[in-house]
Amino acid sequence: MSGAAYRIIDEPQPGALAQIAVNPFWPLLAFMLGGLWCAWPWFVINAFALGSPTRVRETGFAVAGFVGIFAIAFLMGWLMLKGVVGADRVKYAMMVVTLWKLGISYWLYELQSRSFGLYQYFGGVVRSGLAVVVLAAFAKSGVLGLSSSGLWKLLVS
Amino acid sequence: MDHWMQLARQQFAQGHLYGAIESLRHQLADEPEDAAAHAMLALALCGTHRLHAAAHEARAALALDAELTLAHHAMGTVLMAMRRFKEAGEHLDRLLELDPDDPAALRLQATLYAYTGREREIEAVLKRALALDPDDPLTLCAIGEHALRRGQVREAGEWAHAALEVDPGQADALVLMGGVLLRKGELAEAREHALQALRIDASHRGALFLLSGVKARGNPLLGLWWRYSVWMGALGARRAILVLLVMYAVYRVATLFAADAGHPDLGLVLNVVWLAFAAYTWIGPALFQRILNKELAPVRLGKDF
Repeated sequence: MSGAAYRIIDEPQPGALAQIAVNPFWPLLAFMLGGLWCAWPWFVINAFALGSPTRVRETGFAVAGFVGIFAIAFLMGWLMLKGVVGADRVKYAMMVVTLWKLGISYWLYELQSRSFGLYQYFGGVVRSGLAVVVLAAFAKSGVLGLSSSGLWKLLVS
Repeated sequence: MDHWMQLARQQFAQGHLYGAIESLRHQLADEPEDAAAHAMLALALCGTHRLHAAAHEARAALALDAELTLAHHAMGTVLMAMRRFKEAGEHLDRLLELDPDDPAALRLQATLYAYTGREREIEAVLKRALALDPDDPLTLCAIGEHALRRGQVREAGEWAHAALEVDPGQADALVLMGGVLLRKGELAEAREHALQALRIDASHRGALFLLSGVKARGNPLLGLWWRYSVWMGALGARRAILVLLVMYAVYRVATLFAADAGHPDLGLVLNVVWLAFAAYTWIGPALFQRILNKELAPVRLGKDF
């Protein structure tokens, strides 16, 4: 970073984890190919690796994302029990979960991209995340198969 | 001490915002309570889309000197970029209270009116600015831009011509003239004006926008992506994500509905269209950037731009 003493508030302060910092595009791709189980935790780790000034917010979004999936799943279950959503309409209703996951992932990507741009501008080391994405894609079915619970699949896929 | 401020002003005038930020960083390391440096830093950060930090710096400037016109100018500009028009208006009102005869403040107010659709008031404010300094090329350009926005191409050309007569090296005037030529379909001349403006101010957003517009006109496929990209960019990140989610939801519901209604072919078509859209928006930026970089090669933009 700059040798000058004045620090602008949005500038990242990378720490020891900076060695594993990646372009947030990779966690986003991991979400598409591997699922949430690796993407959202990766976003959080990357936020700390980049020293992102919004890392707490980013962590909060990831946690809220998982909590939101629980909440939506329970709401859908309740609506089905009450007969508001019929069995033939479940696939439509469950799209809410997909949209929620997409929304959180894109928002995390957007938020982290700003810090990443500055991190890169100040000469921060950037690794490729390709290997992790490939691993995540191969491990996806194994992770999904760890439990037969529908909720588990919603949470990790 | 003044060396950094002078350098920052010079860099700012040349459009080298990243350089100005570094100079102001040095200035603030020496003089942490320099309100003008905080305000100028806010403007430079705003110009590089670092709005959160820009707002922080503008607030710091105002906290140090609540009567500093540059601080209100910076805060108004930053708030406008954040689309917080009401608060921006309050700062611009205060700015004009402090200095009613500042053409730059009046132009900024005209910009706010343009954002908020107060078309009638724009002209009055700009005429006032012109009366204060009839030879101010920036005011002449602002009037020309207003005319161009309203589709008055000939009038816009006249204002651009007047601005270029006063200052042939005025980047805004060159961009305005380029915009007029683009509207007339004179692509090569418009491109030349954009490049000329970029030679003067290498990060001139209007010039880059004009150049993109020229390229978009020349290549309909990329032009479509460019218009989509400009539209999405104008929405801001939050709304752009919402729009994308709505588009995805519509696509998914339509696909599921097609399958339920016994039209698998329709579902297939929808899937292909969505895939094409995804691929197009994925490849589009890279292609467009490549073409633009090629075009910008003669301007020799530094890495920092």
